[in-house]
Amino acid sequence: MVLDLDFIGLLVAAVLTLVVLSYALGDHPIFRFVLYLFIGVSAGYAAAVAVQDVVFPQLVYPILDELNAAPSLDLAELGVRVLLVVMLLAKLSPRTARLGNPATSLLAGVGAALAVGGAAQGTILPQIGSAAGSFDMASFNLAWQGGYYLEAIEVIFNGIVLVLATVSTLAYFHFGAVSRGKQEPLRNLLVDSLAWLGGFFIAIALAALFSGVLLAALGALVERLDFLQRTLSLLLGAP
Amino acid sequence: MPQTYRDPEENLPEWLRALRKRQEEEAAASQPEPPAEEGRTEEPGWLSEIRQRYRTSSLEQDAEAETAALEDTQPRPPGRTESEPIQEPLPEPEEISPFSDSEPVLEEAAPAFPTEEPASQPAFADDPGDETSHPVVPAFSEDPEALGAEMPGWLESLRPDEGFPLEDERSEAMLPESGPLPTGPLADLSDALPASEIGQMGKPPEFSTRLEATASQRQHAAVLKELLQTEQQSAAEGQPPPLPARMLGMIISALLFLAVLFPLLSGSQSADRPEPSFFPEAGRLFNNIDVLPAGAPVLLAFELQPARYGEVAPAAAAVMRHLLDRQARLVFISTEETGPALAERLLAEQFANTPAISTGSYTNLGYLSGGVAALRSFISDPRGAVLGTPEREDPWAAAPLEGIQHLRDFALILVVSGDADTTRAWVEQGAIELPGGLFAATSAQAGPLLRPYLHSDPVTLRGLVSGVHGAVVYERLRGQDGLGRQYWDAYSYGLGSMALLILLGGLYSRLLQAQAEVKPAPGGGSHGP
Amino acid sequence: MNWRVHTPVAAAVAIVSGGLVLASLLIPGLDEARNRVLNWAILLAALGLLLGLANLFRVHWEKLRNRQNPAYSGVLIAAMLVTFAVTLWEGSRAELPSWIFNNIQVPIETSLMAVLAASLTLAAARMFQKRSDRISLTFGIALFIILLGSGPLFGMEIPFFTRTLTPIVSGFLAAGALRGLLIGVALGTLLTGLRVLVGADRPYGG
Repeated sequence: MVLDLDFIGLLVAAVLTLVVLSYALGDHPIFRFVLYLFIGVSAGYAAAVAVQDVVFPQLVYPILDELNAAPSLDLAELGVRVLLVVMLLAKLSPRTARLGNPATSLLAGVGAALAVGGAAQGTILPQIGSAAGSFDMASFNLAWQGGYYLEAIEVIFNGIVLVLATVSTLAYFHFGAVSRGKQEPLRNLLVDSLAWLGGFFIAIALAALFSGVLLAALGALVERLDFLQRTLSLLLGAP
Repeated sequence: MPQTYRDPEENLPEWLRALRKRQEEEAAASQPEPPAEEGRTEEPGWLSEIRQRYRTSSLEQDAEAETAALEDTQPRPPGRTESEPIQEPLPEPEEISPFSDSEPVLEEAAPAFPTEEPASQPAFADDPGDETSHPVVPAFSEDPEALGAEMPGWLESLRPDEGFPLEDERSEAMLPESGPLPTGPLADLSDALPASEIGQMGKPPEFSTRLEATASQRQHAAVLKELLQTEQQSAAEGQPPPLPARMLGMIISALLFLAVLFPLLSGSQSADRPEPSFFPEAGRLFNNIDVLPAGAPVLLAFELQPARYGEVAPAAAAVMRHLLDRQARLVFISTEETGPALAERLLAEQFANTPAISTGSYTNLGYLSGGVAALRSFISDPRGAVLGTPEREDPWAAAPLEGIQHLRDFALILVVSGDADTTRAWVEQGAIELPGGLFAATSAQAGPLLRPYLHSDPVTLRGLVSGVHGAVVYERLRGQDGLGRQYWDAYSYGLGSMALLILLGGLYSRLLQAQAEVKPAPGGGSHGP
Repeated sequence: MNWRVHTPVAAAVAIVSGGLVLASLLIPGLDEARNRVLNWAILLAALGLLLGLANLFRVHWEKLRNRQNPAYSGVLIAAMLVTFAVTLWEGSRAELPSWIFNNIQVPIETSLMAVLAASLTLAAARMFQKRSDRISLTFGIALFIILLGSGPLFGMEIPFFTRTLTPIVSGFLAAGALRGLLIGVALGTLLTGLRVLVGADRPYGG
């Protein structure tokens, strides 16, 4: 057994794993200590990567190149970058925070545009297309022409259930209501009925999501306990 | 972990060999025939019968329809140079959004008519402050069909309400004595003359943006509120939970840990493994990788956070092993700052002895900072995207990457991700540039939310392997054991104990609660777990 | 329509930059301008992250000075500074930063995920504490069906669940509902994004 950096790392990782897993039996100061250590390490790592991978190549190197009379960016572009950075830094002080609005507004505008484009092209259109194609008409025609009427009906039934699941889930989140003067606003009867049905489908969808999280956590637990078992075997000199 | 390499061709499962054989026969035949089914659950008897009947007939159209329907189950030629459907351009914003109609819903949310306190408020809306964010107002002045464009409550609550005084607040301040506020078409103009003074116009139907809650929804809201208050109290007072609840937590944790640990310590590898034919999405990924030519560039978007690493590693390793066996050229990129380091870690842990890895014949493009903006930039122009290269090296200078100008030049794109959001970002932003879709190896957590993308039209996600379960399915497809098999028994015992503990723990909790309800404590408080 | 004019510069920047990015998805030839704007956004996002982390440092520095749990804050600051300095100095792929990442950050974060298995099992068990209505009952039944069919239990598969019932619930019923949820979320995103793009919403404080 050689006491090298790798071996020490293995021990450190095993101890930290044990401390965190012990939280399942109750909170304790060592767990908190490890938690703060983790926050510090991850924050320091993220900051260093951001500086190294973005701030240096996008800002610092071009400025240095400019100072060394070997420009890698045109001056206007560099000027805009510096201006945006200065604006964002103005957000640090409450007195100058207003000056930083254009910088944050650029982030908001770009983010909104990307979200709009992505949602429309990547989710809404393909998912609506898929919902519209829920009825497998090729199979239906095949079954119907072959005299398999029950199977044909089953194909249509499956399509109806799929569409109903999608539409009723959407209806569940529809809160538009028609005002009825002094009486409480009322939802459309059809929407209300669909929403009632949507409750069941949403419960099933949430169960699927929850089970996914449970299984993911279980996978992580298996990996950690496997790591501890292997480390213990190594320490004990087991094959 | 012992790994025995065998020729992937030999390792093919029966169904896939049958599929290949049939495909070869089909290719040889001049008349088009329906291709073999792959990766689907068993075909119903009636369909097989009809299929047989039609196969002998000359209904070529049906055969073509079947071919199209089963296209996804066929191995695809490498690269993306095949004739791909041209993506429909995004419709004009006016077409895709009812924004122009919906805009007044919130912006013109002025108290255009005197409102009265409704008879019953939702339990969660009893804060007077809520009245400003959900005013009972006519949202639309004229168009009742635009009701569908109303914002749901949760979305409404996201709107900034500080620093943006609503029109009604200003109206009241400006016109304290002005009597009834304007109604009808001028409802949104606070300083307009009352409509009644100009002339009575036809009264439009009134709609409300107020959150309507049924009695059961109010009950749920009340329960949620109570729960939150209880949590806050507990945290504020620093009191530990009651003993029975703590005991339950400890017992569940201890039993779960022991159940998982037992197969790991015993080295058991006997648990039943899932049948790959029930998971066609894994079969599609397998088929696409299995036909890659040697040296084909494959992009791996390693969007992984350390928390999910342990769980995603088996699935990612299974797919990567297949890629390396096919001698694919791996190129890594990540929009997570920890992604590149985790990719290196996985390579070091699982593939240190693989020649392509030990000789450094792969490219790690590094961290792509900037989230979705950076992703968009990379997808539209990979070489133009800003990559983190501290030594100011050009990561694209590597010889095997010379031919890569666009994302579609990659033979295959695999997103390795811990959550659905990052995979969805790739799917959404790559909808135009990657009309053939992409593949994903994810956490079990992301699986359910990504499943609808597998069946989208046009296709956006072609194949998926998720969690330890997905890893085992993929390993079975390949006929090779890996991390998935190593974890599978522990996973199986953990799953069984989870189900059992939820059931028994639930009964115990219910019993404690029932006892607390039957015997109210003398002090008035009851201590449920 | 209520067009606010408090700080037209910020709103104009948001509208122009967002409009350009959106237009580039539809109109060819705007790629270069779009990439330029995206690069600015990337730089600003990285700086935003740094500002957030600087704020974290400041908060704990204050706590350290005011002796509020100084040990914890001290650990956090020390770990932050050491990791930052080492990673920046040597590069994130060098030996020492990799050691810190692989032997401190990854084990802690993965273990926190692992603890979640016990916490969520407990949470699911306690779900039955309250009386059930139709939705919670549906949730509970669906959860059991999915769990029982997600793999073999104690090494043994129950084919009725793994091959019949669970695929119907998780692959068919849940998929339809999740499609509805995805469409709903996307519609909400679309609407919110468009409001920002026309300046009706100004989350940047304009």
